[in-house]
Amino acid sequence: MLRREGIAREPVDDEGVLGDLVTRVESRLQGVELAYLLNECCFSEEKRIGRDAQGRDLEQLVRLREIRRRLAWANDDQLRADLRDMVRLYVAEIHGHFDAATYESATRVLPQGLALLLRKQQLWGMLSRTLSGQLTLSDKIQSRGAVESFDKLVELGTCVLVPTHISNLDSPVIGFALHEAGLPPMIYGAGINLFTNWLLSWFMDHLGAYRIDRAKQHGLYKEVLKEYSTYALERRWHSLFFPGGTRSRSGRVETRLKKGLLATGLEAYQRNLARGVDKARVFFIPATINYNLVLEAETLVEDHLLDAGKSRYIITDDEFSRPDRVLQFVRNMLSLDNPVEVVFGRPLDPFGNPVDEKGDSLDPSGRSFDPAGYVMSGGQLVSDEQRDRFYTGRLAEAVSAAYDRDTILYDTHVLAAAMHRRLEAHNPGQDLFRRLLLPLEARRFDQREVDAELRALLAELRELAARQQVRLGGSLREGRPEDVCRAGIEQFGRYHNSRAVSQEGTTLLMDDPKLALFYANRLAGYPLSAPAPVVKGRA
Amino acid sequence: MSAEAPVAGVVGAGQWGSTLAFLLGSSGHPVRLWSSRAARIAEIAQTRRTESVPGELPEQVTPVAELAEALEAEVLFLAVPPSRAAELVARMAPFLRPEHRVVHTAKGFAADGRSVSRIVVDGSCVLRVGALAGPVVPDDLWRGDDCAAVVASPFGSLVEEVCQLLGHPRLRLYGSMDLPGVEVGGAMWAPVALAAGMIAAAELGRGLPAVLLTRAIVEAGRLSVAMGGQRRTLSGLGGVGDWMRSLQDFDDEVVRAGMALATSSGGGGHAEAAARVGTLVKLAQRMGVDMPIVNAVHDVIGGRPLQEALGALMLLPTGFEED
Repeated sequence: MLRREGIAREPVDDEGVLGDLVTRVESRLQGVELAYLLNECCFSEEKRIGRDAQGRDLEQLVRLREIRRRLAWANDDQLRADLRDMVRLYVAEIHGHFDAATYESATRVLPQGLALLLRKQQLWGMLSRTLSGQLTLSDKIQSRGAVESFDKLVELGTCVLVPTHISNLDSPVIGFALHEAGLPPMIYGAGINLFTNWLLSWFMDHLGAYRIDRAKQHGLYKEVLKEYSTYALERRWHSLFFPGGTRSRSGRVETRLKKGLLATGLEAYQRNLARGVDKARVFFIPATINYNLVLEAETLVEDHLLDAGKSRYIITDDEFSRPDRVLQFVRNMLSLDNPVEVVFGRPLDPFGNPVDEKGDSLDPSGRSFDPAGYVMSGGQLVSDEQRDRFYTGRLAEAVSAAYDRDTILYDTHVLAAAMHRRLEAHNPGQDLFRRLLLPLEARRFDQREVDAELRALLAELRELAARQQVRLGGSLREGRPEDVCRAGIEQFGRYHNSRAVSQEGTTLLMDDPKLALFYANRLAGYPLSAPAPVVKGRA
Repeated sequence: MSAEAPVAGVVGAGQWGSTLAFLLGSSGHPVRLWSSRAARIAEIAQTRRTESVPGELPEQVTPVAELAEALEAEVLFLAVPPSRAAELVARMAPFLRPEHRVVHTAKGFAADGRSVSRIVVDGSCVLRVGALAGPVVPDDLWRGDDCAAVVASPFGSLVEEVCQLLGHPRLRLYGSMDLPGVEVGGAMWAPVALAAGMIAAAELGRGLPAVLLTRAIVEAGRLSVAMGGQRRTLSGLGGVGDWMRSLQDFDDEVVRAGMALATSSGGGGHAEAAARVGTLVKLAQRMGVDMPIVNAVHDVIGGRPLQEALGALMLLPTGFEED
């Protein structure tokens, strides 16, 4: 049951929103050289749309060319009119797919809908035949961490949920986790590629997603997007961003966070203070979404290794676009012993300070204070972009630290890491790419050797966990190396086309070293000792 | 206590604190000056003078006995040595607010390797911090010498604010956004000043001071980068500009301690400077940064003969200059 009203605390007048946003973007762009901005927009868009444009794209192309042609002699009024047109177009594109009323009703039926999608016969016959008799979704998607604080803060201001991102399933998973925890739904910007999967596109459309076209890389579009986010936060629409920007290609926990959207929290907070609105505060809630197995692992790691992450920024042909793979993955998720776990971290203010349940910011000694002073001088609000960039950088660091602390490592991660560490120890001086090309024979290790590596890793990881620098799941908390090994191998055999690690008698094989690397990388960034050198005379 | 709202508060009424209060007050800014030594505050209240500085403090300077009164101002100058910073920040923290901007004058890191700005951020809600550094000492300002310094902070608005507040016809203030770089430059001052004293006393040649300075830029540059700063900052007023002064300033007690070390055989020297060199050695080790000059000075403080330490330095393999 949804306990609270969601995002639409006031009726949303789409024309009004559109008009407001166009005015606000214009104001945001005051002082910017409009001819330059429009030229960049036209050039970038013409290149993106290309020569083979048809239908609406062709209309758009013609329009862009017209704008570009008259840029050279356009006066200020003409430039402003062109800018207004483009902004209106983008605002409509971003906001147009988002219907607050539909969203409200959709979020009420979301859990049942997802359950139907995944379990019952009434909705998707094909799915139900495959999945009937499985456990319920709530058994398999579990929330933990600072849920109570989060719950209180949604009443005191606007909450921005900032989770890790490793799979396109993250959005429905976190949507479900929010509902199960009794938290309100959130709006979020979803890449248009997420709508390519027919099976889930309906849900994406109704999960509160507004569409972001990441292929539009020019400044004007980014400014419109930032303004949209700021506007939403000012209206107290609780929002969700993935500050990593895109799914982690390498499998690592994100460290470099995109600050553009994070900065809109501080911007909204300052505008709220300036307007003297009630509940002006904005709270950031870092969260980690933790899987034993990742749906798109094979494609993501391939992309990472090809160093094509930039050129193929938007992957449209991964496992998420194939319903059979999604289905297989979800089925496995439901049958695995370990659930997908969502950890809600300690809330933060827009300056990176922790926040208590009353919404007050806390200094390092736990003293509470009102953070408004950070943007004031002599009792007056002072606007200062450079200052705000520093604050947002500090927030990004705090979010990243929370990711490290609240990431849950599983048997799959640690077993894969142990195998890669043995490969490294046996091939000193060789870089990762050479190691990945080694023949299968070089990727076979005696069980005792891997157990020893696991024992060392477990000791260090348990120490880190005791200091609350990471969380451990599965057998990692108390199991023996052999337990980790067994559980990891069993899980690796459940879903992927190839096995990351398998066993032949007393020998462990790293069948797919790239896939294993994806899982091993979850440990990268934690302070762990180098792997033990190979002892001569032993395998 | 003055009823006028203070523009700035100065914490610490030693040589630097009193001089900053003088500069601020001379420019007409109401300023509150606090010291942990109640007798000193009483003395200033009575005579407008203190033994730390040669002149009289203007009327705009209000000595206050309660720390909280000094902290009513939004801009605070922290003029205490790094060894006292943590204790003082702990006392200040209950009165600090996010509006506060804190600028320190400390040269060097605390024993745990933290800069004073780090201590402020770690111990309170204050985020807007900065440092005042460079080849200027209070005596210059009281004598009316022309001099220059650098105000460093990652907050451009704080740099501008401090430059404006401390504006004085005889003091040129430049800004820097590289706080870690300027703080490393300040920390490097002690080993360079000691080494300069040693070179002068032992008459080690006319070229060696130049080698000392240029290699100190490289060493400090490495540490600066490791701590999130920039190399080029060390070529400015907060780096080599500051150290250059020590080559000629034989009145400076740290330079004189270096001279004494050159001729003694038992090590020792200026206790505070020696402690700062020790801290720098430990910090460099922790950060994995190679600082051979600092290590050599540390060795001499520890009792190694100067010639032996210098000989070992000269035998180190060389590489490209900027490495």
